[in-house]
Amino acid sequence: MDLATALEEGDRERACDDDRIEDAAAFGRAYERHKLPVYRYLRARGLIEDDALDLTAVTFERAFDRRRQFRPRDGGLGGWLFRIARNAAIDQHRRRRTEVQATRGAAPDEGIDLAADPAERDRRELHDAVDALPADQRDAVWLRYAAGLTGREIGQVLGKSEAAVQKQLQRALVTLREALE
Amino acid sequence: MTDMARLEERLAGAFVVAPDAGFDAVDRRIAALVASPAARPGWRSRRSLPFSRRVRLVLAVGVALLAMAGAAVGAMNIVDHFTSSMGGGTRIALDRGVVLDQRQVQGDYAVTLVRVYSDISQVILLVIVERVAGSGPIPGELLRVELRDPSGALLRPGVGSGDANERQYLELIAFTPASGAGEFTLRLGLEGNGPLPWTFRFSLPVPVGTVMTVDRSATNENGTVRLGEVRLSPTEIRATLHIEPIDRRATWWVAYGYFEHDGQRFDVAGRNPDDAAPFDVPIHGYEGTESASGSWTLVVNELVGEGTDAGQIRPQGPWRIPFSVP
Repeated sequence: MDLATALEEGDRERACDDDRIEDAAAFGRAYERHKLPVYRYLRARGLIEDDALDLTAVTFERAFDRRRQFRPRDGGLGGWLFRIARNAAIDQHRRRRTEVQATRGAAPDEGIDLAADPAERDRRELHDAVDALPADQRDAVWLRYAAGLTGREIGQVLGKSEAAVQKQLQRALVTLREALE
Repeated sequence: MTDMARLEERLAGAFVVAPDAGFDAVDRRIAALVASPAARPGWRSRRSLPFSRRVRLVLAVGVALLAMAGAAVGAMNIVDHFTSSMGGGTRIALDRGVVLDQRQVQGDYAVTLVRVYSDISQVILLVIVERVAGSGPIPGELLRVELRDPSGALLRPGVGSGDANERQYLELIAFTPASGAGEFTLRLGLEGNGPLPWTFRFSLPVPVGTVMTVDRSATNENGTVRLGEVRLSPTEIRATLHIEPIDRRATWWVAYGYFEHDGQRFDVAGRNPDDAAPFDVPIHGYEGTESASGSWTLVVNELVGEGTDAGQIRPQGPWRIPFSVP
């Protein structure tokens, strides 16, 4: 199979799956496609690995329960799933406000020498800069760069227009560029 | 590669993380869920979860597609690149907009008013800023704008979005709707560049679309939702809601729902702006309509309120509000 055919088939299959997530196989494929982005989004929100894995499962369990409510328009499956994931994370944060730990990979006392690991240092700096953004911009950055959502999908999650999301991301990037200079 | 592109690359890399323990435990939970259809009324398929090679192919070609898209960006001009990234009503506005390509040079910068569009929901401008002398980064989103419609009224800039390459910065700016057809005046400036030195004049036709006041409400045990003004245009459906949730602890609110018309659904969502009352929620869709006449129903599925102390509150609908457009 040549690449163009494979791409076309992949797109068709994804669109078809998004239309039919009531079907077990289609739901399973959607789970396979989205589980890592959902996990990364939850980690970006500051959840430790065990909690992020648990909430990834909770996200898909809730999606499965509500699969008949999904309509494959506009924000699409990505927007719908990440709205569930975001709500689940907010619920957990509310329940366990005092327990949620801010973790961005390994903590300094876990043996990583930041001075000797410039990549890890760079990552920490970026996470700290993102954490300092206004809440809406921070959420848009997580959804864009950790979850890989489009502006339209992010709009569906946050209740904003695609253009408003692009503007928020743009402002966030300007702020981050200045903060990291 | 621009500073912004490098920053985006760093951001994408910063969030790349996978669970040390893998997804086995989650996989088992989800597999068990979908493999027990008998416990779930209405479940139609009894196939178990296939984590097939075909899915891996889809993932692989998805990665290839992203790589190809990234390589293609450099070869596209900034307008094409930006337009290709937009969908729905914004794309219609860009496709149908009046092409002006009016270019003016002031100091180190040239500003080109590329395209303009107006309907009953919004006025949209597409502008490119280009450095023609000197060096340093282009001011980017720091463009200041002032747009007056034919009546002389100042239109309020709303949302915008942008794109950039090594030489140029592009900005799409949406404004509140104009009062009518005629000559518009646009003045532009860059941050720190004194008064607004660029002035463009252009004409636009009568804005198309339908605007009407519905002023109807629906109530359930979780609260009341009132639908005020509705604007139906080819690029966007906009409406104003006033909500009265029973639980009012949140400081800002998002409404989720859809309009139904002529067998079609138009998903809408919206959040109260920071400078507006918390219970006045403007909602909008991502697509518009060109056949507004007939019966419509707004269905609000859920309100989501968030606030520092209240966490998240989710009064559930549906609130159904039917109305008719002549």
